[in-house]
Amino acid sequence: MSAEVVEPRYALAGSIGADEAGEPRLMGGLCAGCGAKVFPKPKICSSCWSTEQKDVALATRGRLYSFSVVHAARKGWPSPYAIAYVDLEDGVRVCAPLEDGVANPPPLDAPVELIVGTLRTDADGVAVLSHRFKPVTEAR
Amino acid sequence: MRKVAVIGASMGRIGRYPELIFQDLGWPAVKGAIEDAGVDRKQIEAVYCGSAYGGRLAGQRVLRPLGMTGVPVINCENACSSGATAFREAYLAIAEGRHDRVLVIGIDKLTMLGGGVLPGQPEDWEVDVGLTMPALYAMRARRYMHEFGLTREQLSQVSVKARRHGALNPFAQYQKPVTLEEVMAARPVAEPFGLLHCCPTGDGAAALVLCAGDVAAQHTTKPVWIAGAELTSGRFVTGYRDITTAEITQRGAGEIYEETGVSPGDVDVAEVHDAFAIAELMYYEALGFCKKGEAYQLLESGATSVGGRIPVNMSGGLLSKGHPVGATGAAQLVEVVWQLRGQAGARQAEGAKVGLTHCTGGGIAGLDHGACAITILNT
Repeated sequence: MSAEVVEPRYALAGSIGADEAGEPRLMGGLCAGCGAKVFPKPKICSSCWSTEQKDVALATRGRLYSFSVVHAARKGWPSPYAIAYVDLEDGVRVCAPLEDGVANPPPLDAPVELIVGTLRTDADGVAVLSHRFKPVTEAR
Repeated sequence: MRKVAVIGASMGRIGRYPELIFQDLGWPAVKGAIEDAGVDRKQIEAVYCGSAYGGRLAGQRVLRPLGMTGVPVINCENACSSGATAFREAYLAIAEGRHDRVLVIGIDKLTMLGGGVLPGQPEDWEVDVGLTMPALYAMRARRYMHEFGLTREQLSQVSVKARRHGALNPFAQYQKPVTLEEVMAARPVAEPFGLLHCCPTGDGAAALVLCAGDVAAQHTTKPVWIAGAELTSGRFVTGYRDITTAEITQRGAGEIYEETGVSPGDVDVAEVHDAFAIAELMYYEALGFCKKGEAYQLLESGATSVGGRIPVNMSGGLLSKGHPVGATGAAQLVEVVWQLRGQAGARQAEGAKVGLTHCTGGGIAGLDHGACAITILNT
């Protein structure tokens, strides 16, 4: 019997990176043509049409713009879960699961920060990871 | 541009018809519209068919049992605006002189998809992390409630009004009124929404016959005129965006009011895209029926109910009449044609002379919506 390394699967390919300290970062695109910062990284800038898009680590903190606790989920998704729009400090809006949002829903505009966690289990029984946000508990 | 009239309109009761195949859901509406118009089916020069989930050749499949193929059939997909997009393209084809008599179909059979929430847009980075259509509107609702102090009870009154109107409409999927308590207590779908804040899934078909103004008198003494038919798509925004403002609807409304010279105050009856309860309130504002943040006051005043100043969704709207996605725009137009002809029975808006339909939808990340179609009809 041979052991096999199971690579993590991500909901969005290329969306999760790490900083120098090994902490997870959400990766977006930085347009070489006009400086637009966009998530996820596009192949072409919708403003200036530059195809030169660099990987950029997005802000790890933002505020909770809105969220919903989803009970009627698509097939294969465990429910309930909370899904949110988060406005990152660098001007990017991201849709992401809200950690613990079902049991402890925070108020809108609450500060939140990035974590990476399991989104769901796919048809092969492998965990699919994604960016998520949790309320900020400690001051910077 | 030539004047264009609607001379025929028909639809079946929206509902769940898993036993019907697609073509058999569709042809009765077409036959009804042809007979209503007083045209011979051989006079129809082209057909525009809107469907979101019907698959390939939706129009040909509906026309085949009626022996009506053999003319150009243009199948239009634009999510919830598919039927309205077909109508707009048919209108332009006549207005620009390409045809004199054209048929419009809107049809979808959502029971084909199984049950539950509709499948999300493929390859969408928001859908891939768990966004659903109810959740998207639910986030709009929560933000709106946060910014404008709307309560869940007030939000629920939209559903109560929709079901009150739908109870008067024999073509509605739901014809039973509901109480505020029932709306509040319904099982959760995407908080703050419960089941009764969300439109049902169902099957439906609607059809209309359009003709050039100079031949309308051959067919009817009661033409309903198309003042304008506007179609636009959502703008792609990559950063922060105010989801309490229906950007695509506001922009589309501005364009059609300017094009037609009609102002929001001129509208006697409107069918708007209330797929979820918050949507009706947001569209009052985006269509200019009231100011931003004042939609609930407009609802509470009774202005948008039967007998009010600007009755909205007399059919019951998507919440009560139902929302067979690609059929919806055509079904809204059928309702407004009936309203302007004075044929709407117990839900008639008395003396209505100017009617508006508004259809929008399609969840696509970064856009307010994929498409939005607004039409203004008059007598």
